[in-house]
Amino acid sequence: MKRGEDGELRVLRAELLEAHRELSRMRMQNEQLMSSNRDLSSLLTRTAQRSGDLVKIIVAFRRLLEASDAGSALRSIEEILINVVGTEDFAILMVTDMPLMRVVGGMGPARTLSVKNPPAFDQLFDGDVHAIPLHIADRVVGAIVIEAMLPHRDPLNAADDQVLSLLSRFAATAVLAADHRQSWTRVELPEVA
Amino acid sequence: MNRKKILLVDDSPTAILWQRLILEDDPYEILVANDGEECLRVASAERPDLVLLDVVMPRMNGFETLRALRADVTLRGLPILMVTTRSEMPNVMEGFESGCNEYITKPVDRTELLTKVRSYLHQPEWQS
Repeated sequence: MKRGEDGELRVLRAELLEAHRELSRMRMQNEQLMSSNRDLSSLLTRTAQRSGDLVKIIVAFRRLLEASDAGSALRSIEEILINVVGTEDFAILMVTDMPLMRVVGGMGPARTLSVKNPPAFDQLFDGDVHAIPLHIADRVVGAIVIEAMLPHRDPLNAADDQVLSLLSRFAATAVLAADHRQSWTRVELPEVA
Repeated sequence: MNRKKILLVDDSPTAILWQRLILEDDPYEILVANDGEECLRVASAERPDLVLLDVVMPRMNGFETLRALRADVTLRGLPILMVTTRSEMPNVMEGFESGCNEYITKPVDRTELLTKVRSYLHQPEWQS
């Protein structure tokens, strides 16, 4: 009888030991799963962030290309600055007769100030003012002056820099191209039988 | 399956394009109105499931539009999310006092917009 009980006890101990081992294995698997979940979640967050950044750039590009005349191109630039970059205190200036500049768009105190007292072109890019040069090919033909960002706005990130760089490279060209586009005359093609 | 309708109300084509591109990730039907008056017409005719409403608009601003929407008994339960550059407390308070459900600031964050929209359009049964 006693021998029988000892035997059962040994079996139970062996089962208990196996259960402990199984528990350890499960804990390890759980930790691995949690770790890969964390990696996946962080990847998902980065992908979502990247996707949001790409949308910013696509929106800016499309709005610049869609303008049908110079006025709507300028409005597109203003809207990109308000809705994508996040500022309501900026001025858009174009060189009229070097070094004179003229305010062609903007809003808030930056615009008012620039209308009253247009900044000198040669001092624009070396002061405290955040000025983004506007290029046509390799010539600087104007600038966007940003005085302040919206108060709740996060600091500018790499995607914002890309949008600003896009504006710097293509905004002035977009205004010029839209102006030309408006003056184009449609050529009627001969009817094909 | 019927797609949920979202009405985007903004006078800026850039803001509309941005919101549209973000919401394209989910299978929504997107409606657009360019000012408050058009919003009232579209909301009444199309019965959207949710409205994203700008504040600064010509003719009828977002707060006036919001009050008009809430005054219509058939649209009273409609979730309305204000989307605006105005983050100052008086503006936020006016938004909530006028009856908005959420307040989202521009520049719109993709994750924030999607999360808030989904939370109103895909409520679990125990919340409805």
